[in-house]
Amino acid sequence: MTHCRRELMHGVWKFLLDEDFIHAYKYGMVVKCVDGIERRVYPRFFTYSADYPEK
Amino acid sequence: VPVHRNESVEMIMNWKDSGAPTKSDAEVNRLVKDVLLDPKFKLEDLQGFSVARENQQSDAAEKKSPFLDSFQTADINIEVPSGVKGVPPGTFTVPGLLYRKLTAVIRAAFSSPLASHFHFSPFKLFHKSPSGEEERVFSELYNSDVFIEEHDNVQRAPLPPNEPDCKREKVVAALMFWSDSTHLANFGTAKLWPIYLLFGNVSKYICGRPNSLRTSHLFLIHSKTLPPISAVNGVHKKRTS
Repeated sequence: MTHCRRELMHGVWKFLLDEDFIHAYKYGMVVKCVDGIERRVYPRFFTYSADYPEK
Repeated sequence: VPVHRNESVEMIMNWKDSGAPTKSDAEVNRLVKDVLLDPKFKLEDLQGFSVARENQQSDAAEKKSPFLDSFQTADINIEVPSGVKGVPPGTFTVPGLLYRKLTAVIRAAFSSPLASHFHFSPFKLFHKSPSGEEERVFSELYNSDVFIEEHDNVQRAPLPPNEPDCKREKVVAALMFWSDSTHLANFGTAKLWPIYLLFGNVSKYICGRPNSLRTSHLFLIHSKTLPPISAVNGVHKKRTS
């Protein structure tokens, strides 16, 4: 069961880090910010803290 | 004996000092200045007013809100080992998980009103003591070395093949994820495993506010959608029979 939940969490992340995200990670994504200026935004991971659903 | 300058002020002050004691001076000021004194405010609109009914209206409107609309559902396949040598793992589908696209959440955050508090460029923060000593201070992600380093790296990051001459400012979206199980009920076993996303571009003091939208739900795993053990075993039973 623990295995399944860990697999599911990995499955979820594999799903979340989709093609669009990978493209944005590599080349940035153009976003029109609230001040009206377009910026090229590069998403970067700084922290990940998780309590895995084990039990 | 009236102590205030007119009847209306008298009534407001009497209301403030009676009933529930949780009305702060600031909130009473807000009620008067932002609501009662607003030119659009009409007393006759309040005939038959009931908070309970208006709450129901708000709840109904929330069900239609773009926040819930922005969630999509997905099925995730996981591999379940057979436990038997030579028998390959079976695939089990966990259906109906709610998610929002990561790129959509980032886009929404940077174009939301909250983004006016965003730091696009990291910096070093120093504290100067009265004796003249300077000391580096770390208080937020956007004054840390990792952010500064990554900001520099991003300036050299490649541009997409279709826009090789783009001159737009390059900035980092500082993603901070966390995940933990959340009980939905005091009794019973209803549980969620949300994955949350926080942006390190904005001060933690803003994120600490209860109504802040700095934290985004990214993914929701409901315990009811997790495979019960019997179903997981069933994947292999079907296989062997």
